[in-house]
Amino acid sequence: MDNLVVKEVKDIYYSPVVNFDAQTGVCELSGESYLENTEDFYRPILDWLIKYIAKNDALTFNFKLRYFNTSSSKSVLEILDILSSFHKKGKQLTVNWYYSSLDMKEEAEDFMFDTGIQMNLIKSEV
Amino acid sequence: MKNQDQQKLFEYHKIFSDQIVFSYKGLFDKHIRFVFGNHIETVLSLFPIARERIFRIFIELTQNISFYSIEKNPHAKAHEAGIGTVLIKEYDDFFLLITGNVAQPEDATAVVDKINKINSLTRENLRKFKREKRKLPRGLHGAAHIGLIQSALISGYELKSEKTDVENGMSYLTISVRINKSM
Repeated sequence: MDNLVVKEVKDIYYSPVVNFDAQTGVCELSGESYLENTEDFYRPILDWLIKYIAKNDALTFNFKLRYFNTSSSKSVLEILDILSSFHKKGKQLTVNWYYSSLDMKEEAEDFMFDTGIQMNLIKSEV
Repeated sequence: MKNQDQQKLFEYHKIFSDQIVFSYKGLFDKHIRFVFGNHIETVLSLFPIARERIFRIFIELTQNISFYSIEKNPHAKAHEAGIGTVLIKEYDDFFLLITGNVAQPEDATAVVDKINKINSLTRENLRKFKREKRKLPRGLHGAAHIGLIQSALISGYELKSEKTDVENGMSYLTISVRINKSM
């Protein structure tokens, strides 16, 4: 399985950095997410995760998002729903949520409530 | 002697001359939102917390203007040709971000009703409301249905809204959001 790597774009819209490593099982989403076609951007990310968890037993996901708009927050929830289904199958899941503001910490708490995933909340200058 | 347009511009100047950090009336397409979003982040660099919050609220509210304002720029792409007004005013301890645009009366009423509901909820219940709305299927333009809720959560204060009847059976909708300079 190939890695999924997408570089940050900060133009009219902001797209985050995507760095998913199929060999180590470490996936990272960082930067800012404010997109015109949110679903188009996140579809390959969701597809990659679905494919990965079908064949693997462990995954670490690092969220290092400084900002995302409300449309992107729905896509973050979709990622977490996939991770939640992985965890419910008894697979090894670690989710780290790096935050620099209380607003982003509160976002994480809401995602945890929605998905039942226990994320590690890490204060950081993301 | 001033002609009518000059007089109107002078009145505009008088109204908007106090405490204004930012003011604009016009098209809110993606290019404008990007430029102004960056400008706001730069000009408010002395207030890092407020700057980030204002930027997030600015993006959510101006997207609504772009997509839903009835007043359109005829030269812009139809789906994001909405015209509106945004002001950011500075007070001692906070900023006030105010948006205004012409809307269908029923749309304006729906927004005012939604804001009244948002204002009636405790913070915990507002977070619950956000989670419920976020689970719904996406709306037009991929919307997550939670821009106003998120703006209220970021602000920590009630949103203020007002609907005023204008010509041609339309309404003018204003929304204002308070953002503290510090925590």
